[in-house]
Amino acid sequence: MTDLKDKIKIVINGKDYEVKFPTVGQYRQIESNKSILSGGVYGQMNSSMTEGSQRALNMVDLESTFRVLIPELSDDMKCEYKDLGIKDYLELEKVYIKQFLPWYNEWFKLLNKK
Amino acid sequence: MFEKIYRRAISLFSKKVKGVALYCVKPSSSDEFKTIVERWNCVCFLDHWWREKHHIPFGSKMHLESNFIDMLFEFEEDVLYKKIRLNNLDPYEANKGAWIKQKKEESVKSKDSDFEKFKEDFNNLDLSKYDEK
Repeated sequence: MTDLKDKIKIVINGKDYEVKFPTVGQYRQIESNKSILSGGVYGQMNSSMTEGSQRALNMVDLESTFRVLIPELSDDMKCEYKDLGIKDYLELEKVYIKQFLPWYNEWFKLLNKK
Repeated sequence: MFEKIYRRAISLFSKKVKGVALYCVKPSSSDEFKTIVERWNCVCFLDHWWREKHHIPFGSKMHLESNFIDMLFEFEEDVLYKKIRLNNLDPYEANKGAWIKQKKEESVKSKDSDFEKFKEDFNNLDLSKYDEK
């Protein structure tokens, strides 16, 4: 059996947050959030290989995932995700890419093997 | 006993929610009664919030006279004003790096530093002068 952790601690703007791997319900919620936040055009944005749409998809993925897995973050933020300034967003994206995604993707690699 | 409670519940609920078939199962055990309470709270989720806020007992006169539209209005109004108040206290300025509320952490920090100061003062206390007396 793998020693992959089912939860990690990530640090966002100096605050610690514990993130657990999603349950089935949470996973479904994340995926439906993606559709809602992208205005129902997630698939089209994904197939369009422009830099802009990929960046927007990243924003959608980040918000969909963090809203479900770190609900305290939404409460701690001074504004809504959509109102974040670009510089502030980039700080959050850095956490998403460097701290969160490597761990999250490892789980999916494991699930895909089965 | 459950038959009696059930009848009482039916008479209360039918006054409150007309046409909502929440109570199709006659409770014969406490588990079934729990199911009824759970269903009530799933369908009328604002009802509990409202009763708790105003300290109103379930099935009381005030409760039976209330309606869900007013509860929803009050809830949305509370959310709106909470947001406005928070925004006035600690407004967000884009791209300044301070986009996370720090209040809780600061208050914990200040409590910690108060305690440390108290400990330091306590350790520095010169008790010898009290001994002399």
